[in-house]
Amino acid sequence: MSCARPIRRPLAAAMALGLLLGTLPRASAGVPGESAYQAPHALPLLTAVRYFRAGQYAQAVTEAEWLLSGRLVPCQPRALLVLAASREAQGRYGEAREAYSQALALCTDPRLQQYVLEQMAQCDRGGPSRQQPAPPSAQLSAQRRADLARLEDAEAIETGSHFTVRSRNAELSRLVLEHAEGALIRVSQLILGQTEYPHSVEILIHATPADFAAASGDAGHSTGRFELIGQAGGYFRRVIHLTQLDAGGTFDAAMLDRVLPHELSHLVLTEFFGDAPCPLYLQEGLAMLAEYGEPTGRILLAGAAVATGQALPLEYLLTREACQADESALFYAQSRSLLSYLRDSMTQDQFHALLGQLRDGHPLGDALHRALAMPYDATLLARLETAWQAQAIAQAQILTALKEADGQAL
Amino acid sequence: MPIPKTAWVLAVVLTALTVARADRIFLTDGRVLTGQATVGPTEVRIDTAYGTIRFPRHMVERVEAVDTPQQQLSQRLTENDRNDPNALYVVARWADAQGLAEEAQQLYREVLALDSHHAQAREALGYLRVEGQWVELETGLALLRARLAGGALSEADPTVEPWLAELTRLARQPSQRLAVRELRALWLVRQGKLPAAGAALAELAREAQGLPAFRLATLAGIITENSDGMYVLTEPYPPQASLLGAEPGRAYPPGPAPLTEPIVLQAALRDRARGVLEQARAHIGAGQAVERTDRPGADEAYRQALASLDRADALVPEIARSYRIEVIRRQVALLRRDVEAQAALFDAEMATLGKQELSPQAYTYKLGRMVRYLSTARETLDRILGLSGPFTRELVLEIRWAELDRQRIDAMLTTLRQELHELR
Repeated sequence: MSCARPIRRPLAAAMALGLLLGTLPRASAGVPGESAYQAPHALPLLTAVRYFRAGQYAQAVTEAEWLLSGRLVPCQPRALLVLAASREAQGRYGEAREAYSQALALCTDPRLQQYVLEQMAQCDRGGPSRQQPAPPSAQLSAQRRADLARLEDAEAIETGSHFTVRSRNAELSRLVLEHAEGALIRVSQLILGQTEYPHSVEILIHATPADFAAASGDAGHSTGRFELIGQAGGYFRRVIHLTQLDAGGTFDAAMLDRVLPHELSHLVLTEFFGDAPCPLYLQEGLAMLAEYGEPTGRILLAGAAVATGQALPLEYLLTREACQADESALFYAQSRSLLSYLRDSMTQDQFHALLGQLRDGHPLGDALHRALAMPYDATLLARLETAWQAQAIAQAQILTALKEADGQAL
Repeated sequence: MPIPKTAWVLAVVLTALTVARADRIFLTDGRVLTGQATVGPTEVRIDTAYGTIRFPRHMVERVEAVDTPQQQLSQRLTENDRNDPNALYVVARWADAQGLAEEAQQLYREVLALDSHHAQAREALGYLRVEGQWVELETGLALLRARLAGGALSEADPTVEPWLAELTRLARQPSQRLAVRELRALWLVRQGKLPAAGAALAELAREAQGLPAFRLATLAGIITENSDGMYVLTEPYPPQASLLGAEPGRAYPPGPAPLTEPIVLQAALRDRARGVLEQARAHIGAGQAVERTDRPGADEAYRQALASLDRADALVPEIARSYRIEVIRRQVALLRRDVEAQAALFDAEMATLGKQELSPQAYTYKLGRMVRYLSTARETLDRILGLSGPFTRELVLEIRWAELDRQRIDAMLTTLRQELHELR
């Protein structure tokens, strides 16, 4: 009987893959597994990693599981990470989460711990997708909308962990409270990252636009507003004003879908910036990003403006402290488009780091360099503008094509 | 055998007349030395390329004047066809052997002017052949470095070993040798020979100094800590790829990755640089906190911040630029306070000028103090300009203000010095 070490099936397959890819490390003495790598598990681990990188997740899983079976090293967090990443890539989020969880228990490197936690959260969300959740109003039947339009005599007050809601409709107070907590989670994830918003907010729902204007002092066309009111002793009272009915007297569903998350975003961002000045494009861009649903009109407007050479230049967008009435629609559309592009092009950590740097007063170029920890690039903003505008056009084109396919009017 | 007296006189005269010429000294024991001889009353001194030797007169049989190597070279060039690259190459080799390095280099270049493919002349000038092209050592180094970093070389690429061997042969400066050895270590990483690579890099780090040593030690640390060849990327790399609209697949996605791929090693180095930037940020914060209460403490914190930023840049060039500008801006603000303080002292003297009864001596002292305050302020402005100089685009205001203030101070100094001169 030969004393030669048998070649395991996964490893043999790995050798074949290595030959195929031309990447497998050569064994120093021609004996499989006995390469110049230090630890005995190094070659199979690296083989698993290479399978993972080649998109051959099943083979990566086999290799990692073989390593974890204890034949070389009893238990390795690094093999668990390959297993977890491969499972995640296969869309087997439950198993991936389990492997990440085991790796976390063995992991001592803070950088890796943070990474594993993020991956676990991603598995919990069911993947990296940033698909928009359905707007709250989509769940409201016509009857429910009619009920929500009712005005009762007594004020109905509902209190939750962050909000106190007052309106003249008990059902509406309950509904807004429920969605306010959900909106706060969205806004906090967007702006604060893993930090929880620590304050309590009053939500005052005024019956009509006239009531809203009288109470909030906002005589414009808006139907929502936030206030941060300084009180004795250094305390602040946080208030969001909303409007129950539209001008026609029906329930204003935009209150739930757009106005509430929009104003909440303003409130959270204002507190996040504290005394530091917050650029207008950031305030409005983030607030619109917090709203539910895809703002088709704004996406089309931004895309069309870029395509026809009428877009506001990035430098102009970044430095506006107020916008002219004739360009406000475009300014808002482009601000949202820019923030959406930035958020989607960066990891959550990078995006939050970016907001932190902007809060510290760094201009966007510097803030991006810092948030991304990238070497200095004098052309960064110009290249960003080009890439973002290309994306704005592409988005508008896709949206147009989808609408045409659906036979909808543009 | 003793030298005849007339020969001695002749030798002395010859020596005096032909200072630049070489002499050949024949010793009584049969040795012959070449150099520049100085014949004294009791001894003969010979200056050679290796040092000076003195011989007592009785040990010297005779001294003969000979042609210098330069003269011999001229002779050889006259005798050979200067349009024949091979003949010229032979002369160049001879010059090289005689220690006429500069002349030899010039001749090798002449050979190349006649025949740009003359391999021996190319090699003698330190060229190496890369993919059919002759390139200089630094270019060869840069090319191999770029190929390795760009992932263009597979771990079994047969061209790398000969390339490295050529670079090793041609590298003469210590920095060049270090660079070649670093490339060799990185090639070991690419081949998956991580323990050997880690050991080589650690050894290089011990031999190198300053920031290169830090960089090499960091590389060695990354390899040692990930000796199984796996590194976990926690975010896509390069980090800006997605932001700048790179095609899908151009950015390396997060997750476990083989350290043998150069882009992964670069990402690991970037992660380390980020850690160093965090240290710098902590120093900046510490300096900022004590700017008004502990000026030396703030200065020290900013000095440490800049040192950290230098280290970060050593790992990833130019990664620290915006932080560096921030520190310099803060340092400039502190220095401007110093300028203001000197200006206040000057203003206080100025305010009493012409309002006090002063003796000529007291008046002279007063002007002297004013000159001193202005000179100190001017020196501080020079420091501001020195600090801001590399960042003319970002520190426009700082630079412009300092320049304007310096002009004003110069004008005032001229007036004060004229006044002092007249007083004296």
